Amino acid sequence: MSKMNPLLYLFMLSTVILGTIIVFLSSHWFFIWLGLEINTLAFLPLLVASYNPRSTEAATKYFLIQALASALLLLGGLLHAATINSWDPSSPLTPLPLTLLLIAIALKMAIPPCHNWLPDVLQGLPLLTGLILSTWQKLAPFYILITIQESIPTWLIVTAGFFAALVGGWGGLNQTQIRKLLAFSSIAHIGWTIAIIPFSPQLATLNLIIYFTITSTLFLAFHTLHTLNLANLSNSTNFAPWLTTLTLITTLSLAGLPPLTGFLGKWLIIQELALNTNTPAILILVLGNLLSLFYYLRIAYVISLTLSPQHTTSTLAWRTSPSSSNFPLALLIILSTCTLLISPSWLPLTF
Amino acid sequence: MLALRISSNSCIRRVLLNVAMKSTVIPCVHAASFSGGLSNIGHHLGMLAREMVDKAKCPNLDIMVNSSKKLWDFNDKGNLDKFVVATDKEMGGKSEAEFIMSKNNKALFCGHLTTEIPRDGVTEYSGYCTLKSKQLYKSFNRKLQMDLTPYNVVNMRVRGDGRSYMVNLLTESFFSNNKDDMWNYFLFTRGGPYWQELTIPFSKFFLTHRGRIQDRQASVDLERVNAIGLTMADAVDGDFALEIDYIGVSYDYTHTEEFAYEMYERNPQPKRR
Repeated sequence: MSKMNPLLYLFMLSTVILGTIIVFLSSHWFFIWLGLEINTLAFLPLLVASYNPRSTEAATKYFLIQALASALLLLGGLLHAATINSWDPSSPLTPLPLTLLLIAIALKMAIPPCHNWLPDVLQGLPLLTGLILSTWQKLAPFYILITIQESIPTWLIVTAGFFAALVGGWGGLNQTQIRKLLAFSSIAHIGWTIAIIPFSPQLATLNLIIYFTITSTLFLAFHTLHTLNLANLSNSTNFAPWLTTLTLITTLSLAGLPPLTGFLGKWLIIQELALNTNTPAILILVLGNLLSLFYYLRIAYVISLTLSPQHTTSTLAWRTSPSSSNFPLALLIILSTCTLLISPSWLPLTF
Repeated sequence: MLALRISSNSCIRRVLLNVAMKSTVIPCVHAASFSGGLSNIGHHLGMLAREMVDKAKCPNLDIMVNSSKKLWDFNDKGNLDKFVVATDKEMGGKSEAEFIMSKNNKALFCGHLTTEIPRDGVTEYSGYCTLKSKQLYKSFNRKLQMDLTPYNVVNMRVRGDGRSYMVNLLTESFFSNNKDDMWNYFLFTRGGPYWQELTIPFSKFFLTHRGRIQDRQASVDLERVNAIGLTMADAVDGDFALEIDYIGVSYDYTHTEEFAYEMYERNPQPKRR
């Protein structure tokens, strides 16, 4: 497969980062749109870096969705400026611009009902590109959401949150492909994140960072194991038992099981919602998480409780273990599994 | 460059083109009246409801237990109707083929291949017979594709006549210019009285477009397979017969190859010293 020139790849990646930073630094709707467009247009060549008709299809779908979202965002910003004569994103929004902006953000972040593109696009991408799509590409729209969150009715954003948790859980039940599973996992976690925004934006940011850490670990682990489906994953124990075991633990962390890191975000969100006497939201979020837990446990089952074929008469390994050292993966695994235990020491610094 | 070569006489190219372009019948209920149209809509809504219920039952979960699936078992005569036969007669050729039940209660793809060129002044090559599974449809005449992503090999139990066939995979394309894309691989039969159990990994299939092998190869997209077919076009006049017991797919845990063909840089630029 043809690959992109490394320098060109690095340039495009830098431009993707630049676009997001422009959004962070902007206090004008036009420049926010500009940053999003730079981010999207620079990301598109990364999607087709390794030639594959499926990648081309994924890139086309991604472009169409993101272009629509950017256009809606710009229209919302223009209407906002025309209405109250201010380009400042933090000024209160009137209903029409708010609606357009919310649809644009939902498309950008794959919040239901604008989520159908994410599993399909992620399935067509290599794992490392999918990692960027699942993590970095969500930062800019999340920042916009935080900026305008005071104008959004609380019931709307909480409803969108638990709807996302349910859809993310339900959609992943019938999947055997790793990338689609991670896409629905992303939708579910974004649901948890946006549900807490009206009550504590800092907690939403913390939850997003925790999700980014754990999902990055999983993407890198699956990339190292060269596995794209559950059946292939069951084979990994033969040639990389330690990495496979740590992948299992990281998956359980993503499921939100204590005493792993993933439990931290969910615990704090439930606590915050309980303090605001929002019990129905807690109930629906937890039920959505139970659905997600089903496919996380399926991954754990495949890794730990199935035996893959082994040639018992031969001492020669028929698959070689990954030989390159992977310090970032090791660091991410530690952060993804052990952070809860040390959270009392650093959490007060963030709130 | 691919290690294999297709016959340069382009006959197989025409075959592959024709298989890809073979028109399929879209089922529809002719609504001669308003009430007919309403009943048609009701019929499709019922189908849509059944599809949603089936999807809610999570049919892919049995992959955890069964790593193989028989797509067509030809001990059941009803499966014969799920295939369509085409020959070069559509272009004026004289090949004949049929897909019937054999006396051993298996499916038999047989006929007579003729490479005689029709005298129309246009056709240069002739001689093919194809067998292709019919396109399935779901509610509102949408195409129903097979999701073969949990599997990585095609299994077939066949008894051939020693001639070489070709297995075709047609997938759904997103772009209209990929409409005639098809993935192919060869099926070599031994002949004789013994059955062959073939296993062809999906990684071995190579990409063709309108019968031409593409320079820029890619692995087959197993998520949306429209049809699986067989082609007889080995440019040898004579009878052929291929008995098929079943066609299925499975997951071979020992097969880890993703794509069989190395890609070399096309038009390499000389490196400056």
